Amino acid sequence: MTSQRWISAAPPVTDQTLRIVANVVHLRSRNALLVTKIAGVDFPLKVATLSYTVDWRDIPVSTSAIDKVDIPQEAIPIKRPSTVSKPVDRRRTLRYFELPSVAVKFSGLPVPTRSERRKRFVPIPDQLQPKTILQERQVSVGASGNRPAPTAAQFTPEEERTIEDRFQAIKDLVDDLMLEGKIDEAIEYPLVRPAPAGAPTYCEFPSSLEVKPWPWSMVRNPIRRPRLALVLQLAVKDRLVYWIETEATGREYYRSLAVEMIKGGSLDERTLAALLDICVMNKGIWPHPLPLAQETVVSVKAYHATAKGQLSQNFVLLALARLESERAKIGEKH
Amino acid sequence: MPAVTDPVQETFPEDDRLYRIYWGGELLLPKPDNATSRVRFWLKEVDEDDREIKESPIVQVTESVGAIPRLTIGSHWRNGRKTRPKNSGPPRIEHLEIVAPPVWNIVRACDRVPDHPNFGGILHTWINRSEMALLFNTSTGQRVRGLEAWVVSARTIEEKREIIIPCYEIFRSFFGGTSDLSFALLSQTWDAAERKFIVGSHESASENGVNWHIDLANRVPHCAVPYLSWLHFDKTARKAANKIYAATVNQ
Repeated sequence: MTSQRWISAAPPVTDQTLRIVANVVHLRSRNALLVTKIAGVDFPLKVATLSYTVDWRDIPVSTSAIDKVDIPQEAIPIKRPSTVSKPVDRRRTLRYFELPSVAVKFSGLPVPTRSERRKRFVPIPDQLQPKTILQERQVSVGASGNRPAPTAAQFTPEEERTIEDRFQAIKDLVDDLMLEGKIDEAIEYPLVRPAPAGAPTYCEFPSSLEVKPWPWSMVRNPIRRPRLALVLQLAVKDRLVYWIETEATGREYYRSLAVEMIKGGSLDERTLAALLDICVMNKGIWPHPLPLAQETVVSVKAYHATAKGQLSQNFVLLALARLESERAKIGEKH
Repeated sequence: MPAVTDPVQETFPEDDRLYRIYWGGELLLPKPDNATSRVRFWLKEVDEDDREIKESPIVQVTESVGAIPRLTIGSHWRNGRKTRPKNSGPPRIEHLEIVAPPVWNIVRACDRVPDHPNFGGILHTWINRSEMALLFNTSTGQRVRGLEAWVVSARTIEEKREIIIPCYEIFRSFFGGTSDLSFALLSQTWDAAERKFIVGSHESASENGVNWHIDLANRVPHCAVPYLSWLHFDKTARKAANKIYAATVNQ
């Protein structure tokens, strides 16, 4: 018996081969390997498709954003706010900036696809019931309220897949780069207008139903909704780089922007909103230089490159390298 | 041997120094001023070449279990942010093929290894003290025994090489995919926690394998889908997940 309690868990695989990719340390005295981090797992079962639906959700847009912004940065502006530690427990309900384990990659498991929500007959626990259950018809009209977009339930499966495939390709690429140790960490960063689709993975571009002709920031077919952007926060050594990927429809080109704050630290809500506004004003084409206040951000556009029909890692690495050299140039000026 | 800083900190140090998570995984049950259980980690200060600074004391920190998905042993932190030493190379990465036995050998790292011909009668523990010094006295006289942690011992298929995996890492990588999942699995059994995540499911077989579909509950992020579907549909995974709570708390 001991007063200490240690986490105890066994791998969920028995009687077969378990293949893992892991960071290891050599224990010399016993000639054994100590696994410090499991980075990838060959999924042990043969799964053909993996799909899911998402239940209604009410999104605490403001609380998480405010928490992120309110972290005291005034005292020492260069110092980055802590992402992990708070003197008090995290609120368990505040989960949009609490992170999934992006470090573990299940190879052999199909990419989860979201399918159209079916009518659900299973009761859910009381505490999980949303306070107000919206009627599907009311929302799709988009007449009431100031949110013009229909909710996730009205997305057709085909359309969702197009968006998700596209953004998923970028995420897979980033996962690969993390496995190779070129990026330390990648998290979704939906600080501005998190989209109510699935989880607030994406940011919405500013849009309104009242404006005609239809602005670039609206996607019209097959349903009207704001255009989306995938924003990732990449930790590369001591730097924090933000990757903004815009949604493309039809024959448009995909466009990416890598951004870094000159002072270091996190991209704040106001700057991200300004960046999205700039993108809308230029109809999706990132201008260079960005018409932002000087010495706020340093940015480079990234050009998509494919190898064997797949996105090439090089375009991310190239963008990161160019960003570093741009930053160095600014440093020299001072 | 450096003493552990005392009292235990509840935040990662914000002193511009670089720390590496040296060891971790002790579960601290919720106290009146904590809403959730916490996990204890030991940090060691390192330089930009990832060499330990010996005179620097080991720092104990606790974090709520919701932070487990991000906290890997061996990762580097500065001012509460994940980072990397400037001059160190990439970590040693191995592709391991492990024989998964019917029952995994879960042992305490400080337990003696049963007799083994290779060791010539020398008494070894699963992780020897000479490899990882994890026994400290704090200034209040509390004894900290890091090597009481549970580890899994296994062997690779080809070279029959011994692999030691801390149970903390097994939990983090196979089960605790998101904050909520980590919290739920260390607060109750998976059977009890499941309905908070999954409200419906169906499974069908096809030529290429099984088709899994789950209906996520309100506010469950879609990144949890691989973890949830595995724990939900696979019997072995379900059994393993159900054991975690009891095995961790009843010690």
